[in-house]
Amino acid sequence: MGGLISIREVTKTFGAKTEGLLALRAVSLEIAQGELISLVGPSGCGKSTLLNLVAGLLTPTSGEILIEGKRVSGVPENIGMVFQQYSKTLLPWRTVYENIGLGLELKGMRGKERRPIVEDYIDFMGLSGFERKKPYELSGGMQQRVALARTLSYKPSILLMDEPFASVDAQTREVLQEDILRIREKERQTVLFVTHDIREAIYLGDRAVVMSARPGRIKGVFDVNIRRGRRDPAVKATAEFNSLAEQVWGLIKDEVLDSLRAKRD
Amino acid sequence: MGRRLRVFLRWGLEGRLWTFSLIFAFCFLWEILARLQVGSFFFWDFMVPPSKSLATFYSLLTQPPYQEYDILYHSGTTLWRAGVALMGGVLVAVPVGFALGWWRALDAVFTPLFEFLRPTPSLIFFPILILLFGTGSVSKIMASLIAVSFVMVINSLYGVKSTDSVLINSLRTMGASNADILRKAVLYSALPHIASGIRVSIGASILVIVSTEMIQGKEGLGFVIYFALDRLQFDHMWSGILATLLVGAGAVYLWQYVEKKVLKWHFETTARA
Repeated sequence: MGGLISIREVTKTFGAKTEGLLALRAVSLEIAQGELISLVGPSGCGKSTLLNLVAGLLTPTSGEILIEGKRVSGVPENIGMVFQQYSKTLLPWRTVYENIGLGLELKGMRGKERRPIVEDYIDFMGLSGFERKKPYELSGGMQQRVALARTLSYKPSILLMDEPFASVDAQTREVLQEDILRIREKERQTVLFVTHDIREAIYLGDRAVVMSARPGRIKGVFDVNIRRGRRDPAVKATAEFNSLAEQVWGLIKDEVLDSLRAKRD
Repeated sequence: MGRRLRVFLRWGLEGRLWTFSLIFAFCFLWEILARLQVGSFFFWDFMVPPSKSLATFYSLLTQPPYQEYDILYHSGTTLWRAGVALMGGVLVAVPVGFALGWWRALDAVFTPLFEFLRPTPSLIFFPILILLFGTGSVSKIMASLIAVSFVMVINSLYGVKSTDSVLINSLRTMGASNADILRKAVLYSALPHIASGIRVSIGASILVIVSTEMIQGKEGLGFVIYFALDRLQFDHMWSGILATLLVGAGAVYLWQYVEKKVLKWHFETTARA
């Protein structure tokens, strides 16, 4: 089966071409249907830029991105994106219910038809009883669940997640990780998951793609066979898991030091 | 709810109690100094004791001697003129502000113009407005409307620009069109800025209306104040001043009440920290 998403020699420069900031350099990646790719790398390595390019929010300076064989220009129809700053993506003047319904509303679905679907995802994400609350009345983790439910409700075939758990506490993060795997099992979307957490990348990903410091390049791709088909947080304690985390860390370590040095300049 | 009520009773009411006590103490001091005629006699001729002004105010309210001193009528005139100017200004300026905030080309050309005009007192146009619209209410309303518009254009413009880019991006990924983004996100994000613009504009609209009434015409609170000044009836003058204060404070107070109701989500998200 061909890759559902193919990223071909994508370069992205911000600002003027000659003196601008080179964010990505010749990145190529084939992603198969239903695959969960975690993108891991030091901060400022262009992970989020790559995601925004796939989402059609940015256009590549050179190279191209194809989704199901079609070149991305503008926002593709079948994508859903979840952001790190989830609280900013929720509308504070709307209730949780109305926020979750927004995706379907934008796709042109009527209120009556939306209701069963929205209720379904409220239930699935464990948000029952919070329907009439406003987002700011919820905890961070619950807010992110609202954002997830909203994105899932219109059944995108590709899920783009930009460090979705970076601003929640460690315990909530573990719970949300299980949510992701649960969602995956139910809907079998293709997922592109950006994180700077190595263990999260290995735990969630079918493959973990390691990126280098600016300009972002793909430094290594790890096949993660540990968890496939199962959903068990216990794998995090296995020797296999830890050795893989060590390998990924080995690859990233120099990059982190590089990016630290770059920041000092 | 119970907790909020208790907090209000402790601080809200107590705070207000202090405010009123301060005003009362000030008036009391004024009253005594005026009665004793401390220092210059001339000064206390126009700094009429507050009790006397209040008595006059009450009599002008209940049994005005003639039309010129019918303070209720003139308050009504000033209020409706300011109200029309405010509404007109908002209706004209908010769409303009939205257009400037949304289209960068327009923003680049026109925003500096509005920024330049904003601190300009719109009263400078009043002579021209009299020539254009006559000496009635229209020229006064227009002068006030211009003042309101300058405030509202800038405020709604910044309201539009304050819309979070992450929010806009997230809507785009759900397939939102520009019209969707404008209707479902930008409009709401701009509302708090528009509301605070209106709060400022209430004062501005009354200010300009009263000023134009002082300059020309036979109606409105500005007219009453100057009419009394011409006749050296200073207690009547203070009655006009008091009426203007009450009209302005009442309008702002009412608006703040509406604002808190309508923009509950805004105050709850910003005042939480």
